[in-house]
Amino acid sequence: MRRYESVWVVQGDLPDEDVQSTIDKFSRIISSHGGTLVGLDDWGRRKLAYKIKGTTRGYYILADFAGTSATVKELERNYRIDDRIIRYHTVKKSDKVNLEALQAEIAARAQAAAPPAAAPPPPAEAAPSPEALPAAPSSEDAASEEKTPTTAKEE
Amino acid sequence: MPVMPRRKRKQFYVRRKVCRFCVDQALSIDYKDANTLRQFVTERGKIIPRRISGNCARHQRRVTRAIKQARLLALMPYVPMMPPP
Repeated sequence: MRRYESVWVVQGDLPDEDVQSTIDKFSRIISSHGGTLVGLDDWGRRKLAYKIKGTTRGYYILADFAGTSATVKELERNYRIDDRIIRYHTVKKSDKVNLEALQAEIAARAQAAAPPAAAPPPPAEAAPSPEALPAAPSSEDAASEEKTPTTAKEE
Repeated sequence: MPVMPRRKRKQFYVRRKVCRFCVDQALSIDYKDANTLRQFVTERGKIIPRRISGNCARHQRRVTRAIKQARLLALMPYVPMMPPP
């Protein structure tokens, strides 16, 4: 098992249901092809640096997962099939995965996401930001990867 | 009578540039962090050479790679949109 992160960009002018359905679809593909989803990070709609297929905005979603080459292959095959996806990018974060540490990280993320999700109705927006701090001490590169999307979101 | 130099050689004070990623270990290079990477491209979007940025070879490679990855995801431009002259 290797640790990967994958970013995909949904066309920005599509409604939120379409975005949510891509999240569901690709999360399912990861978990049904020998992968374990560690966390999702929703960057929201952002302006693209250049036009893609005539659109200037895109909805960015980052999935952090552990899996094998088959997981990534299947995921990327489906990215190419789906018309709503305008860009995707998958990066290997590390070659080895410690399964116990992975479970602990998933639990920590779930715990961090749970309290805000229980109180206010929109959990999708509330989830990524509060988990950034508690998840950080678990591993070193988790700290650096958590930092960047939140700063990018402010832009 | 000693020969006087006609023109005094111009003195260059080369300030030794240091790689900022080596100095500050906390700085990370990440393709998702377009704001940091923007410091390493010109306003035309070109990657600034090592000679000028002062990065060491290892970190320059990583910066270059990160910029190219960010461009792919449209987080950074290949060619910025310029106002007409």
